[in-house]
Amino acid sequence: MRCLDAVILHMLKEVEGERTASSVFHLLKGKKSAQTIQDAHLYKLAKWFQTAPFLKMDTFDQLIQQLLQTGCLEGERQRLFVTEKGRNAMAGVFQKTGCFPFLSGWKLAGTAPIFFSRLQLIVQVVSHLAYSDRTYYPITRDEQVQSWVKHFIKESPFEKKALADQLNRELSHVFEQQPEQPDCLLLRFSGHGQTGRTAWQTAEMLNMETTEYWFRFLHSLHAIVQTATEDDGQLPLLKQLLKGITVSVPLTESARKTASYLHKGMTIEQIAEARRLKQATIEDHVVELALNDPQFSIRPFVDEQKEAAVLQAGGTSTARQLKPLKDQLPDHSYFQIRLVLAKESRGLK
Amino acid sequence: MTIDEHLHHTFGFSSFRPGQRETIESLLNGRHTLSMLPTGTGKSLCYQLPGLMLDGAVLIVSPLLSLMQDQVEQLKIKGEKRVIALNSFLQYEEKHAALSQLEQYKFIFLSPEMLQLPYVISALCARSIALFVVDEAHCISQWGYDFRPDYGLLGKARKELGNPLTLALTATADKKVRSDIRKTLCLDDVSEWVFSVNRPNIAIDIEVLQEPLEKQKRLQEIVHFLQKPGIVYFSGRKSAEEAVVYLKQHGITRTAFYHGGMDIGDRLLIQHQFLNGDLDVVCATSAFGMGINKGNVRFVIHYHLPSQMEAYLQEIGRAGRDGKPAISILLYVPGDEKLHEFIAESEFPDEGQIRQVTEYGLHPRDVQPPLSETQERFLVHYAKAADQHRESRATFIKDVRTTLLERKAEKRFQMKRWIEADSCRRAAYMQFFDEPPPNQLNCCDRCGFDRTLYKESRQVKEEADQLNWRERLNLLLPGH
Repeated sequence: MRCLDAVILHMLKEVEGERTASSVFHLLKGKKSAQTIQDAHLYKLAKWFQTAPFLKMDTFDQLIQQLLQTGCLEGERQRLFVTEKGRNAMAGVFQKTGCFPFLSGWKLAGTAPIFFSRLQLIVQVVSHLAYSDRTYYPITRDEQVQSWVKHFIKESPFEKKALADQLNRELSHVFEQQPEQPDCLLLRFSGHGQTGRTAWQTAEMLNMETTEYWFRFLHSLHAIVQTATEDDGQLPLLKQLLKGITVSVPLTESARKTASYLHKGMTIEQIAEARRLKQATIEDHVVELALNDPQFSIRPFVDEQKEAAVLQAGGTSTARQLKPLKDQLPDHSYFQIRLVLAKESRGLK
Repeated sequence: MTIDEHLHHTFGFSSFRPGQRETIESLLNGRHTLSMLPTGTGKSLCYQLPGLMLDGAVLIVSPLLSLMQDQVEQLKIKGEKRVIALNSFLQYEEKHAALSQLEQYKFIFLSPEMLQLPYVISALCARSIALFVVDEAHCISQWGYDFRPDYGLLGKARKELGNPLTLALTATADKKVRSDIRKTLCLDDVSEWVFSVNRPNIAIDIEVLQEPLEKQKRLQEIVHFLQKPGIVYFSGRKSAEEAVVYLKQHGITRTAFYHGGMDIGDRLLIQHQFLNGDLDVVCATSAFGMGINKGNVRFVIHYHLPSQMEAYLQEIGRAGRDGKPAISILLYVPGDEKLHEFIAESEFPDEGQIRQVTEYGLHPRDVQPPLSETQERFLVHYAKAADQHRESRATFIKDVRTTLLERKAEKRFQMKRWIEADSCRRAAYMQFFDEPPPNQLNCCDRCGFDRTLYKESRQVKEEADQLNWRERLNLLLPGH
């Protein structure tokens, strides 16, 4: 069984037939919809959020089909259950790989790729500087990353030649701290005398199944980002690499429109009427805004007391479904509960 | 500096390749110029060098984003920083920032659709333009290989830019295509430099096999035998990937695949590995090779029949750019051309998709099944053209589609005839370009050639990477 299969089984097991296979797909892809983001938190699957951005719907469907055929899953696409056989196979994979404790898709899926892209280019530039080798093709064509790195080198307090030494020291430090083989990352770097390998090639060199490599790579990367974030002065270069990474909020077009109406001071009812949409749809937009926009205030819709009540009822972690929460909080609307949950999960980002 | 001094000092070459001097001198004499130079003979030097000697900016129209980026990088690596690429992938703000500071740039690369935008034209008009370059100019003609509808509008753009000194560059253009280039760009008075399409140092070999299943085995034998590095072209992504697995199983370890389905970062890495000599064989689709400047490619193998002669010549032209012996081998199984029938069809929207846009007024982006980039470009372009001709969109688009498909079928048939003919391969393809037959050694499988010239003489290097991670890190970032 491939690692990706095991991850999918694990996620299906957590949602226990309460969510469809598609919701697992959207989670792995990192779809920024209210439903997916809520699922991530309700079912404690936030770490897997956007950890398989390469997945395509048809390959995912094939995977599910195979898992059904081999008897690892049962039921139908809308309601799937992991069988005993599936659980054993999955446990077999995780026994080998561990359960990726540092993986943190929800928090880092946006930051980590940019961090890695900057790191790859910095290593390449610094390596060539150290060897006084000026002719090379940059490892990324992303102009934002290129100009960021140019600025970084120019502003760096370290002498050009001392940079290699410092970067070496910092990378050694974080490689020792993180849980995977350092080669998972190191082989991906280009520099003087080494051309970076693709993920596929690295997996092959390390004798790993490709999706296993992929998750180990992410695991290692996320661990390093967290070490660098929490660092108190030993890792000035790596910490600097995390500065100013802004992950743009990809709101749906329709939610954007609703936001502009809200700015004009219209109520949900008024917006629904003006846009000839159902009130529930507008409410979905508001939840989407609450999830994605750090400036967005939920106050017009839920007062402080009600917000506190939801949190007290365990709305952040234990509840797996809205229904039991709602039962505890008869004065709250579903919309209000969802808004509070949305705001809370934003805090986790 | 004279042009020879520029060649030595700025570009570090000791002599011009065929056609370069003629093209450059023609431009420096103020003549509009159309140059057809064989692939792999340094076309970009033809505008880079005069660009440095003329006052004002050089505009280069290029059909592909990746090609544009390759050219930008190659200029930058030579130390020329006054380079920019303007294309639809730039963010709105970046585009405007660039346009407001155009005087900073000497070499401005553009996609043809950028020249359709009035604000781009007016920004360019404010900058004095020394030279207007149309790269891969054969894209202008429907008769050319790789026709791009939006290239057809370059004549208008050129007029709007005040008819600047113009250079049209191509590697594959017969008489008809060259005449289309002149007409479309409105070049009435133009110096035309046509150099032979022949690349005498590349031997042409065709092997006819009876079964598709024999191909992998044969490929493996050939690759073992030949001097490397080399490129193997496939017409599908999957077969390229499968071949890599097969070659690796049979001891050809330094091999990798490359195709348009890979993410951009991975594609770039494979390209760099190939350039840096880390790979012996790249198994690729036609997405690989344009814009790659590697002199020592020793072979190009076609695992499938190329769609047409021009594509074939472009692709084999990536071998032997250093002038040393190289070989091109085409593996053919009767019936291979069927594959291209299917591929050709898939390049255009089908009748249902056309109807969704023309009859039901759907936006091309909402068509089901979704349109590919090429299909969408085709639909949008010819819908506009139909409106201009005041014809029914549906009929107009369908007619164009039929015509282009027929033309492709004709080209396929030409290719098939070429394979089946008993005569000299080289003489036959040169005849397409109205050139007389050559008389040379090591010509083709019909005329005969010495296979040992292309034999691997080196010991195959074993992957000897036994570094531990600390050693690897210390090599990358020395300092302790």
